[in-house]
Amino acid sequence: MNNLLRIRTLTDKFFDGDTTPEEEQELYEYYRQPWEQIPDDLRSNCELFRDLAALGSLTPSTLPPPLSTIHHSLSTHRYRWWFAAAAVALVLLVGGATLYHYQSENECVAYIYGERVTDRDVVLGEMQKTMMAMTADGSDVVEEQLKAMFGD
Amino acid sequence: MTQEEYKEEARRLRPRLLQTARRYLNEDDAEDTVQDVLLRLWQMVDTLRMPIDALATVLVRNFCVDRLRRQKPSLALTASYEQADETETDERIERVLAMIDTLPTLQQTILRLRHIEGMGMKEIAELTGSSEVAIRKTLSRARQTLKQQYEKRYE
Repeated sequence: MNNLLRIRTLTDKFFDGDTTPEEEQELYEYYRQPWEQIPDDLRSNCELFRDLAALGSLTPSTLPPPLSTIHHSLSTHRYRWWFAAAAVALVLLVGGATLYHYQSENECVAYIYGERVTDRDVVLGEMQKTMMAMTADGSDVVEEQLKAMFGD
Repeated sequence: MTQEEYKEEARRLRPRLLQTARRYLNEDDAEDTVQDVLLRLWQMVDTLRMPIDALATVLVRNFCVDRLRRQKPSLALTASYEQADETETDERIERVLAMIDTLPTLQQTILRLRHIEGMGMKEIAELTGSSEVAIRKTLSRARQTLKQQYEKRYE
């Protein structure tokens, strides 16, 4: 009976805007009980108090984390993949550049009668022919060339 | 606060409020929510006192939470008891918010700060730049109006 008197007083205080959050919780608890256990004069308040109690559960802490948090964790995850992809790309780039450099240093290039030739066999064949020609009559060739350059 | 002061404050605050809203919502919804809050603050410009930063930020968060709740997907028919409870809670929240939305803006704001944010009178008074007595009176009027609406609905 004392409790009922307290509930009536608290209900009046509530509608006067004078209740504390703790007293409001007490009212929510009271009005949560089955309809039949509540006196006739207080029954009309049931739905309002039950709805307000539900509204109290609508706090930011009960909701999913803010988008920024989700975005942050997604970003971290994505960064890892980007980092791995960048590392692989770097390895491929450095490897490719080294291979290219090595190949270009060993490239066989010659200009035979004004034409660029990169075929190793052709270039070596031409070199061999030239060497043979020089060793066969090397002095005459040199002499002819000197005459051609400086005249008689 | 004068209308000119409010316009200046709204211009200054808008980017920061958008930043808060974007923590919860996508770009479009964040824009709409900030717009909604600024409109509500505008409707009670006569009662506001500078600075309004804290009040505006709390309201933006409050409305973001409200919007997120409304975006929750509906439940399947095979929902468990726990989900059924959750549905009932959602319906209750929906109903009381719909009634709160019919009240004058200041009453809506105070009810939201009290019943969703769980703020005390002193805190609400500081946020709105009003006195505790004035807040109690407004809260009392708001609760009595809600009581009448519920009585009409359930008589």
